[in-house]
Amino acid sequence: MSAIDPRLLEILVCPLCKGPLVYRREAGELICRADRLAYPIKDGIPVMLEEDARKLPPAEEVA
Amino acid sequence: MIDRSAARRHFSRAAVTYPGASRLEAEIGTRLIERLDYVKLAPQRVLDLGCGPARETRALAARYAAAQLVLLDFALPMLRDARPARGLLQRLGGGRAPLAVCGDFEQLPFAGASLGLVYSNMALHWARQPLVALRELHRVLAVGGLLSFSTLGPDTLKELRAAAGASRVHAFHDMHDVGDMLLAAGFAAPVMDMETVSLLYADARALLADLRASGQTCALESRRRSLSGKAFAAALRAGLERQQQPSGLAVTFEVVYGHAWKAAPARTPDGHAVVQFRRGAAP
Ligand SMILES: [Zn+2]
Repeated sequence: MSAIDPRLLEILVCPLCKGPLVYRREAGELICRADRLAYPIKDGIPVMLEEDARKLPPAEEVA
Repeated sequence: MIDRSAARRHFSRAAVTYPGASRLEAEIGTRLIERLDYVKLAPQRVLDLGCGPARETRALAARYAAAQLVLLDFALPMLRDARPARGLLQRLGGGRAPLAVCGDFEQLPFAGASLGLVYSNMALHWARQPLVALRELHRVLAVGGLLSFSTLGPDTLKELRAAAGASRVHAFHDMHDVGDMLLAAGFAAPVMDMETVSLLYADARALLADLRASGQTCALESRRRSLSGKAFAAALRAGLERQQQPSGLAVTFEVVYGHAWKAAPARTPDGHAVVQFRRGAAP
């Protein structure tokens, strides 16, 4: 239940740096490489809030 | 200043009871959409900013049938509750269901120039820093795009202010201040107007229950200073009861309407157009 509508991917950017996001389908996350943040997708709704984002640990690669 | 995380919790908690307690928002939403009758606009994407329970989603979808509707709210439960409305629209609209995003007015997660119309009914007064929010809206609008909104002005809940003390009720911005902020944010030709609406409640208890049910108790501030304490609650109720008339307790809402455009980039004095390189999706 964490798939995202592809039409949203056309317009979504990172709310902090306005940079592009990487969609990780299997994890249900949208990732900003620059800020090393993973924004969760809940029931198909992306939650684009810094306070709800997961901080990527230094070892985690962003493909 | 609004405690935004408290506001978010309030609205999240209020999601279930919200539609019953939001008659004013619904009425103003209808009036705001009617005002779009006077505007020629064929946006590719329409953002409903602070959509709440997505009351006006159907009306917006009907008016801009060719547009992709995007809903944004900072309370996730509101957006989850909006799902039946979105599902209905998908069935009616041949697959063009509105897209829902949880986000913050002051840090919008949309690409620059990606939207043709931003509609916002009774939501912008919850922005902590309205100017920051307006700058963000200017950024996400395409050139020629319109911001159409309603918000609350300083006379709102003046009866509550008289009862609770001015410092304990959220200070709403004056229409002229909002107009100045629109210009400062880069908008062109802002048009502002206001109307005063009076809602009649049976008594103080009914008013407070309604504010609570609609998630608007965060209009009452400084809860750290024992606002929810028994003594304050009693003083608040007594202060409201002093304003009670035989017909009930009339409560003022000052509704401010604003419309502003994102104009084409200005020309330099020697007549050369200022060229802006923008990245992002089509509006
Ligand atoms: Zn970022």
